[in-house]
Amino acid sequence: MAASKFKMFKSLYLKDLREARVEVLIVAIATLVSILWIFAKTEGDSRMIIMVPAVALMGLAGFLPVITSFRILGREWGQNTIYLMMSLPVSGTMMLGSKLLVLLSEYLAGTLLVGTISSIAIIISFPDLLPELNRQADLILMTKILISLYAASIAAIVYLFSCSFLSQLFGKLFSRASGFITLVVFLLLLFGPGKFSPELGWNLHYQATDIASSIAFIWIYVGITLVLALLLLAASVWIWERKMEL
Amino acid sequence: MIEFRQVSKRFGSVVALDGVDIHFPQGSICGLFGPNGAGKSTIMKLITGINYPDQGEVMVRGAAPKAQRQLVAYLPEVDHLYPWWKLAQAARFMSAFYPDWDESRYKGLLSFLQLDEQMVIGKISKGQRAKAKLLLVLSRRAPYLLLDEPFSGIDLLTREEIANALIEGYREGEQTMIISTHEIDEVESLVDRVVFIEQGRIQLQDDAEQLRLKRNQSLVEIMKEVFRNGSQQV
Repeated sequence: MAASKFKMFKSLYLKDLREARVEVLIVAIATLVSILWIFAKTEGDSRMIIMVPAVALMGLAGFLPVITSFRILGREWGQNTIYLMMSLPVSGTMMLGSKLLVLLSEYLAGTLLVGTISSIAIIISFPDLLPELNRQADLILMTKILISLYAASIAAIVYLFSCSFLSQLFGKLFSRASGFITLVVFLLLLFGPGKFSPELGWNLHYQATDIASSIAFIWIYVGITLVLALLLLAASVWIWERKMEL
Repeated sequence: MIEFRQVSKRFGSVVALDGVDIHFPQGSICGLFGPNGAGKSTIMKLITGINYPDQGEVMVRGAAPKAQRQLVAYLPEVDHLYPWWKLAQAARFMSAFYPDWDESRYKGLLSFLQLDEQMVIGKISKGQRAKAKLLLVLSRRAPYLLLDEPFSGIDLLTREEIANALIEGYREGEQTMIISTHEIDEVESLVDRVVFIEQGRIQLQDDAEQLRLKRNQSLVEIMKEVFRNGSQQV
């Protein structure tokens, strides 16, 4: 009788989710505290200042999972739990896939929390804003832009996580200067594609002539970034399964 | 059955194993004895599939070790459990991966080893951690049990408890247990077969009882003699 793959994946996911919980909590508390503080200290139009902590905390919610991506994998070696992980009867895809899902959960939870709390605060502060926006602009188009930009941010963060995994695993293949090799590989993977392919990434949107084509270009960017991330993840899985030793 | 055929392994300039041939028969308790740095842990890691041979072949039930990981219960020398885990969490985690997890055996061993499910692994003593590691390995009905230095740094009383737990948890004839240690006197009475290894080379491997009868010595005395006199492969 074989163990259920879903049960295995769930166990790995829940174990690693612990690493992300604190960060999400920090982001949520910081958002609530800063918005409540602004509510207490300001009135009327000056409450627009809510946008400042909202943008800063959105940046934090996007940045913290990148830190977690280094911790979630690095700690396995630091705590010797890598002996347990590598002896489990699971594939590298499942092992790294569960970690990737944890990081993605942290990113989604953090950014959605900041976005939702800030939006509610703005709607409460400026009740006329939504009807006014609806009168002056196309809300459906705005929603499409927001969704495509959020999808682009997800693709970018998945690419960052893949860079983090591959650079760390590659670094672990060397007994000396492992940390330095990890850093060099991470920076190469991060800036390499943009350097060698000027058509890639943010350069795409300069070719757009109207909003609709801008949205289309963003989705192309999402596709290309996810394909690149998938390639890096495949390389990470290959190292995990074929080259990693203790 | 676990077999090593002409296995060599290097770590940089250090030769961990040098053309090793070993045969661990099915259903026996094998002692893997040798001083620190002899290559015992490397043998364990090769069987678990977390190291690969540079040369030669390691086979577990006729297949590559990585493909047989679900058959192997491995206790490494290092503390490999998450320090924030409660014993119950660790047990739940392990049971998700191994269909051979035996809950009633786990409960029985828990009380036999005087451990509490609510103990946090990072907050218990070294002896209790050693027992916790052993509990998780012995709670499985795995065909292969690999115990790498289970007595390392453990006080005498706990060693005795661990040795008793090994006897308690072992299913004769069904399980193959490999115990790697340099503290041979702790397991002398347990082992059916012995492998003496030094500097990555097998010095001697034989049936434990036959060796004792042939030489009229204890395993401790045989080991001292073997490592003093060098290679005497049987």
